[in-house]
Amino acid sequence: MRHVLLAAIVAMLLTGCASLPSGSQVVSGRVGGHEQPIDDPYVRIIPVGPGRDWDPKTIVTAFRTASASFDGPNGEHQVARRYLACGGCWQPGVASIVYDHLDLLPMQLNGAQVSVTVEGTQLGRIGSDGQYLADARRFKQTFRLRRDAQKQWRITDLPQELLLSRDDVNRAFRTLNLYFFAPDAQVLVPNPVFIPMVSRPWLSVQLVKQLLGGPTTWLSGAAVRTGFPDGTRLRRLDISGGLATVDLSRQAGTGDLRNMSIQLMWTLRQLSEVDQLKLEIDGKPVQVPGLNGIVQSAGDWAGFDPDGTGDPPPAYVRTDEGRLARLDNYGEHVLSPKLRVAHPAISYDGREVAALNDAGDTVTVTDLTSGATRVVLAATLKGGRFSTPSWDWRGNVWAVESNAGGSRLWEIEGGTTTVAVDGWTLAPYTVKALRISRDGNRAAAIVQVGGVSQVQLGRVDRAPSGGLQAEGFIAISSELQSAIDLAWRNADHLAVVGVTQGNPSPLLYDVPVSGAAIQPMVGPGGDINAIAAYPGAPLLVTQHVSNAKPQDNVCRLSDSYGEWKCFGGTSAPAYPG
Amino acid sequence: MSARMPLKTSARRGVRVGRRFLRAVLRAAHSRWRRSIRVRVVTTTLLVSGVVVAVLGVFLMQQITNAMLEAKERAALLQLDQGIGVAQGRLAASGSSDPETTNGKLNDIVTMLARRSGPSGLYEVIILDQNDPGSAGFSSNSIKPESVPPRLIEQVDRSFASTPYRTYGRLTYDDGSSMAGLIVGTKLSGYQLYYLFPLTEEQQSLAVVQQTLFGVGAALVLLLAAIASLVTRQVVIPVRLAAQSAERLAAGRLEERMKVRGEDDLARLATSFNDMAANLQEKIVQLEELSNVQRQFVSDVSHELRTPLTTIRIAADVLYEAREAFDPLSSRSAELLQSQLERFEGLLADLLEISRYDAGAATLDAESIDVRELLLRAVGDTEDLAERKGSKIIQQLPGEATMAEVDRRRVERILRNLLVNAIEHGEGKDIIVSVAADRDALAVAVRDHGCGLRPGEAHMVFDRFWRADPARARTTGGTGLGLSISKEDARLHGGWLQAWGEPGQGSQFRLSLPRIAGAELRGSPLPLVPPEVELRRAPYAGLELEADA
Repeated sequence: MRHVLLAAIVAMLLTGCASLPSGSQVVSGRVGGHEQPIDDPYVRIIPVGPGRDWDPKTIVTAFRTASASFDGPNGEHQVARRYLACGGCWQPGVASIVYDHLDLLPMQLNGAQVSVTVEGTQLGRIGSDGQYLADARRFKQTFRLRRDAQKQWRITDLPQELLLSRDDVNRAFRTLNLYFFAPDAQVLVPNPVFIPMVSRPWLSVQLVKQLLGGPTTWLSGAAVRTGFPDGTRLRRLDISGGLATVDLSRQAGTGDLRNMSIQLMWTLRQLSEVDQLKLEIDGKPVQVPGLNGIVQSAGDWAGFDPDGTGDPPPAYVRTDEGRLARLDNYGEHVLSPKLRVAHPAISYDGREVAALNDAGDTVTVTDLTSGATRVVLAATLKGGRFSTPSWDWRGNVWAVESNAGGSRLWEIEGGTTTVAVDGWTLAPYTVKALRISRDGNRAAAIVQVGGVSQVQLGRVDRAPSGGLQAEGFIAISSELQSAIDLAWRNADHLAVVGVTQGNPSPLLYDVPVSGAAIQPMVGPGGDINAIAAYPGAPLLVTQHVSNAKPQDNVCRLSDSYGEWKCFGGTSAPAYPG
Repeated sequence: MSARMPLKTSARRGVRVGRRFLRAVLRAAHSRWRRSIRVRVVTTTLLVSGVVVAVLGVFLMQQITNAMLEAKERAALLQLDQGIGVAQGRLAASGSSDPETTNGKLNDIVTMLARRSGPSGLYEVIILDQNDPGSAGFSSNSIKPESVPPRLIEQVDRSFASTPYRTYGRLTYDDGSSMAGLIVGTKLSGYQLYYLFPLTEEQQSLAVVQQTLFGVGAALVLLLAAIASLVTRQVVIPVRLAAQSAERLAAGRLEERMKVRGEDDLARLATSFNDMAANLQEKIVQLEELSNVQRQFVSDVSHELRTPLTTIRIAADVLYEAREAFDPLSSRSAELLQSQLERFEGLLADLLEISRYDAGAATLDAESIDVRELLLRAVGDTEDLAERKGSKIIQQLPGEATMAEVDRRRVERILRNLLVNAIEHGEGKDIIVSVAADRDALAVAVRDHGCGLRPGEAHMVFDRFWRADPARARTTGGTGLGLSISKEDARLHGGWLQAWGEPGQGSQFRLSLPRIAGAELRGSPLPLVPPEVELRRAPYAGLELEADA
């Protein structure tokens, strides 16, 4: 466009009537393309090799700094290896210790060998498969050094993981989702992984390779399914002009082309350079049944959006008289004057509401069309109280009952049949809140562990014995000191009301389930104690105002100005889910 | 070897053919260049306008490039300024000098600055930090730190803070690609901040401008050439027509005229050409008429004189017969009258002959004859005169018959004229007559050893009434037209009559005739210069040359 304009200008110059337009039609300035956080510019550290006659402590510090760089064509830390006595002996991959603070202890001499120990606060670990695990604790690692033939200190023994600060991780890694199918449904489950940002082309190839390699060990326990047959390899990935050509090895021929395409498309479309997909097996383009043409576009598989499709649903609140009301721009509208609810949860189809009684020891399910209410569950533990129930996509209600000493998880299948979840690994802990993900395969919970309310993510599946289990709970953030409430913003992000170090009052945070850095969000002020979220819908929070007349208000984030609008005397906000 | 040889020769042949073809093309081009004004004008226009357009294009290109780079530099320095502000604010935010914190800050600065570059990648940012072992700083995206040229780093390192420097260099990226770029940098409280602007957009824009310029320039040059071609065509076509008319005029078609169209310069050229042609035609016709009148006059006079002359002749004969009865004075007068009348008759006959030639009425009455026979007859006719002069005629004749298709009367006349001429100027010495023949031609040479001819006279001897010595009176009955008529006779046969002479060496006349009437004569079987003279001349010539030296 610009060139044409320039050419026209030059042509005008040549013909002797040079002029720039001083007025013209108003045209749209959109440049097109979808923007993703992955497209943000990335920054890399410039690593340098060891200097002459550096002492062991400097060598260790410099090595740590240089090893934060994934330089080299495959991110194999070429420069950092120059600090090692044996460059090829160190194979860290992406396995890392993410630390908050690091100190060098005084070095120790054992004959010709010198040990340098580093001590620090660990925030978490990145597994060799890219899975993040928040695990805040102290750690110690020892490096051993020896002089080489040129009398230079070189590292001989070192930890097999990388030591990375939170900044290093933010800089060097990108979190991207691998998409797999839930075990019993055509729903995609995102599997976030950390991939080092070696270069853009490398990133896309690595992404596909990891997708072919299957889910991370944590998620594979949830028996998610992949469409790729065992042994499928990537032969070639070529991205040009928005079209990604994925050439898979022969083994893919036995797989379900449709499922493979869906997974590939949803995984690759996170990269802004991909809009379309062409699947090839052993170099030959394949036609996916149900599609016309061999080029698939992102829209072909839009129905598999893990966040669901269609317009955002209405929001619900509890009025101060305890009635369920629908919230719109002008205020709340009571649905049924007779129905009284506490901590309501609305089903995804919007027909049923699961709620607690005021005491919080009974779960009821009400059909909103008929108005019939049935008690489905009563507390079984001594002094047990239910937390807000949660619906999944299949119409099951999940409710957790806790007392000071432990907890139990219940599933109410279809809103009628109550099943106790046997494999509930959080049974010894008090669970303050539990929200099941839309796909029904993951549960986010606030768990009271040693006086701290941690946000944990677990998987829900069926045990080999046939019983339901909810297990594999891992902390996803070490930055959050204490959490009060949480909600799924979308398939891979939580909105959490919590407290971080140095911030005693509860604030809103966006917490990626990947374990990537949490981002604070601007809240409405006051004490926030409950939150509701839905993909594509504005956040709802309950604000407790404790002035002359203390009361709860539900506040909604206005989507146009980023302002909060509060509705007096309402509480317990809810979206379906 | 054997396989390579033909290959080599064929290659050589190919080269030769190519060279020949090239030479032919060059020659054709050269001849076209020489012959056609249009080709010359168009070529010159093409060359000159091409040079002018090229110079203009280069100049324009330079101006545009300069303007673009200047704008880029200004924008880059402004960007750097802004970057310094942001970076200084961030660095001053908290005072901790813990390397972890400073690294974090630098990281943040680069992220922030790079984010301002936008997704289209307007520039890349590099911060160099020499205080931290293990890292030299931070770079954004896939730019390689080597892209900052060492000369710039050195300059920035030596400078005071906040003095910006800029330079051009090659930006290299991780994927191995590289491209020209503008690099600006400055010192930033112990660190060095660099902005690297790839000149992709500029390069693409310049490429577009260049293409446009090329297109426009080529169109302009072609346009000029076409105009030149059209203009010359308008001028050249009438000139060519005029040339054709002049050629036709020169070929004798005096009625040729040019077409006059319009009233422009070319029409004037045509008009004046036509005037000239008309005048010429008029003059030529006049001259022709005049010449005819003169010829007719000579012929008429000769004829008119003949009748009275016959009467005078009869009377003179009577007087001559009766001269014995007269007194000596009258008798002598009668003799004189008789002899001069004979001469007068000869002169009249020659004049008639000449006027016949002039009128183009002479015809060749060719028959196959032995030329030796003709020669013998002529020698017989002139033997008396030779005896009287004291000369001897020596004949060198070939043994066999020398047949040729000739006009008996005319050839006999030539030979007789030549012999009489030789006897007259032979000063009583021997006269050699030689005949020779080859397949196509025969020659008769008549050599005398008289006073010879002075240089330049060899051609004049054939002029009408020419005399070697104007003071000398005619002793024999020569009319002064003999050699002229002989020359015309020889020409009528398609032959040559040539003379050679040198003072003191005598002279030689050679008649060369084709053996078949009408055939073209290519050479003569006898030399024009007698061989003995030729032989003698060589050593003398050498001596003369030596004397000169």
